[in-house]
Amino acid sequence: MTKRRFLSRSKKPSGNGSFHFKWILLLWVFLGLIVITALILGIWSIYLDKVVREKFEGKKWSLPSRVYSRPLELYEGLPLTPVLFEKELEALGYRTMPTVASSGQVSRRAASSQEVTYEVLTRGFDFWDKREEPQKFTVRIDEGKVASLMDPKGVALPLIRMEPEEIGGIYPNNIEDRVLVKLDQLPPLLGETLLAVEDKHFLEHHGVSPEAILRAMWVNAREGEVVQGGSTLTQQLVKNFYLTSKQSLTRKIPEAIMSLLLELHYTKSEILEAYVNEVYLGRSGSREINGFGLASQHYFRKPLSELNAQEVALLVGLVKGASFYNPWRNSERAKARRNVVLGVMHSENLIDDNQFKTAQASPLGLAAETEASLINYPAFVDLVKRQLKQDYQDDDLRKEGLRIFTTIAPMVQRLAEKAVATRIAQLEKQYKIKDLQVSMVVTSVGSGEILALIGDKNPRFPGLNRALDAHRQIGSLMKPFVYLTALDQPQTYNLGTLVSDDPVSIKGGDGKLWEPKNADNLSHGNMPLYLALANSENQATVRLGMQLTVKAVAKTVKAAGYDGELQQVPSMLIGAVDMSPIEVTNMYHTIAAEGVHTSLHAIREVLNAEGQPLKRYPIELDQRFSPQSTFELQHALQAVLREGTGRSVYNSFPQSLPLAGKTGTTNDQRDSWFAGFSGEHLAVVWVGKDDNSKTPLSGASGALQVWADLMRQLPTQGVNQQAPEGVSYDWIDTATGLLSAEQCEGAMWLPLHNDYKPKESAECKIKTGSEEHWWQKIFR
Amino acid sequence: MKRIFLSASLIFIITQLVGCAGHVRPEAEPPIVGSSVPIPRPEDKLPEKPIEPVAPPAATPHTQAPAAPAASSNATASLVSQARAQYQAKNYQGAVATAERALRIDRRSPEVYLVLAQSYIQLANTQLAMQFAQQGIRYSQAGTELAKTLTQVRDSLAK
Repeated sequence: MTKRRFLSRSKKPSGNGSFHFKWILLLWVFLGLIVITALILGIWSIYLDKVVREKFEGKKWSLPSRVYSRPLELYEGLPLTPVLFEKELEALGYRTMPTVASSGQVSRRAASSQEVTYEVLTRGFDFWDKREEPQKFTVRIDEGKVASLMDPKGVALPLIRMEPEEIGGIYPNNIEDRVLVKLDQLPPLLGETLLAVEDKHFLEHHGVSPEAILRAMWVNAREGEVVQGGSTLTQQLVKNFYLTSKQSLTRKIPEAIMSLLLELHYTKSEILEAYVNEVYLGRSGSREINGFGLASQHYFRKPLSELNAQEVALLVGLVKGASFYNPWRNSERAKARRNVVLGVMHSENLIDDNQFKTAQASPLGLAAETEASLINYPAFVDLVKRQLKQDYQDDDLRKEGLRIFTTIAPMVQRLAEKAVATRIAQLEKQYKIKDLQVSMVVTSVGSGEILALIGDKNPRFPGLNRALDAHRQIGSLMKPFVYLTALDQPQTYNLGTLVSDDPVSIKGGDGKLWEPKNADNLSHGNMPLYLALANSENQATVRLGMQLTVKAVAKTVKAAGYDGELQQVPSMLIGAVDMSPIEVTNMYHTIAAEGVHTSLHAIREVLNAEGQPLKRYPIELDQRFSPQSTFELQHALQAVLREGTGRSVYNSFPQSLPLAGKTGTTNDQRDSWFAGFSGEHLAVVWVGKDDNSKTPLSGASGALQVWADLMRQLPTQGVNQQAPEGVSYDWIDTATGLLSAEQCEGAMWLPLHNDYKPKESAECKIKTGSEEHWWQKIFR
Repeated sequence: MKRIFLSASLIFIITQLVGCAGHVRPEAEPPIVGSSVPIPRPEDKLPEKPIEPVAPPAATPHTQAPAAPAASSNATASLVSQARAQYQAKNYQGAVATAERALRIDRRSPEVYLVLAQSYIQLANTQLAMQFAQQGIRYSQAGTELAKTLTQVRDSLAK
């Protein structure tokens, strides 16, 4: 055998051998690819598993802090009108019904415009101190106050605390907003409808459902529109929670893997709970509405527990496309979608025939679309944030879901906003001026709680907060503190003490003479102290202040609550000092509260997201001036409004309502101020221009008018007329400051320290006529 | 005739006193009587009808403080009762919070101030306790048990 034949016998037959080799090679390549793919998928899955667990087990969302108003507390005698009460109920989302059957409903029966009886069923709320359960009661409002408060059996109730209004929030930078809902808080109808529409086999699949995809394709083709999605709820959650909404294969693969992993690690309950809080359901301006809890408030102004079948259907329908089915923008489309969902609810026996027909025929029932603003009262919330920043980091405020209970009274805030808007527009028109600005601070007298705050003539504009940050000369608003310094020396001064209003000339440190003039450029000789204040005489005030010393007056101003710098020069006596409205309010509150200083505050309590108390801001008092001297000062400030620079007020107020206050006008009328109070409310108003240019407005023609517009609408009580221990009234001769009697000319009935009354009497000229003075009308 | 004589006397006396009537108080001096002639009180002058200074009635205007209407006293009393129960249960923060609710309704109720003062003592805030006790004394009727209790609280804090 030759070598050639040996070699030829050793070779495989050429055709069959190469075929097998190719297939084996392909097989190996295929196996290799599978292994590599599996390896890649395995590593990727490990990574995705970490992502899934980290985010799901950690804090899932940055929760904004929620800011609440003060709760309205009803009791017999509370000053309140039907209009104001109904505004409060409307803001809380209460629905007026013929009869009250569930929480958040009210019925109304009016005997007249002034006498109205309401039956209310509250919602209940978790307050700082305890939970208030839902409660049914009847309240009758008559003659501007709560006339009766009773339970359903007719038993008198001492007190009812309504739930507070949510007025805004402090949001994370991405401005996602949600109200967290636990699964057991989700109404069963809502949960079942959601599953029926979006993922019927949620409880059976493992995150991805090929059958659901095929079924959806079949159903949608049969219906001719998309009525069913192919993605499971788990996939939707993964898409919103971890990924993006971009439709692509590269997103679908991790979505599928992550869905499987989510189902592997967590229960159906946990996944569903995350879903109902994550799902995107709309937008309000720049704020995203996420989750059914917030969506219920946003669209219906009520909690989830109060939704009816058609409202549930509307919300579930929005899952498919919140913008496309926006009920305010596309009401017909939204209604059609809602009715499709109602059809599913009916076919799944979640609602019966009657409910189905009724729900289909009903209107959308939306609440009024709110303005696209994150915060209702930006000036006030700005103050809240500043006060909170002393105790909390910015991140805590934006992400930890704190619940902040504040002092704002929405009723008062709304009245203040209305007064400001109307009056400023009227002043601009009347005086033909532009760019007028305004700020206002309103507090309750005694507690120092801020009830309303306005920082701009457009109260919703979150720009410069003039109430806190605009420091302007206060002018004559300083004068009461000069007179308080005097009255705090009762051995020397009382309201009848004569002070000279002659021209005054003071040499400054630079050798120049300062010669302040009265507003009318006249001198008025000797006048009783109270009248010098009531008429806001500059000369008398400066003379008095120099007698007392500037240092002593500065000490009074500090004791009243001013923390800023005070240049102790004579011009300080008539208000050559820059202050913000809130600083002025702090000082005047001490006067209104009869000498008791309380730091003004905007927050009552802070709770964490779980409702656990974190911090309280208690009411603190400090008696800085004697009750006697402040009572006397209050009398003089009442004289301002009765016979002094503010007397126009009683053109539109009942004479029987004692009010007190002080006007303030600076040089060239660049600033118009008024600080005034009743027995219950203090309000400080500034009107002027941001560029500090002249205006035609005095304190009386400008700020006082805004103040009066508010106080005219605000149910309130008058200034206390009962003298404290150690003070009694007596007749004083205004010409001499000596004792007098009722029938004598020039006699004034003034409150005086018992131990320091004048000992001598003035001569008496019997007066003719029987004109009754303002204090006599009050006491009558 | 008698009336004419007395009226003429009155006119004479008044004209003699005109030049001395009134005296401006020197700026740094206490009030000074305008003349060395004793100025009689009005009721001494008129022969026929002695003038009694008529004091206005005690100030209880219908729209005013100080006395809170009885019904708001019910609200206050209810809250004070709740605050007392919290105090007894040693929930002093709760007692303060409830008493503050009462204070917002009626800031002149001495009972409220007593609860606050006693609660702050337990919370070791003697400064606030003193302030609230002081306010309570101010608004309580002298001689009542409540006034005495408040005074005891204040005095114990002052020691």
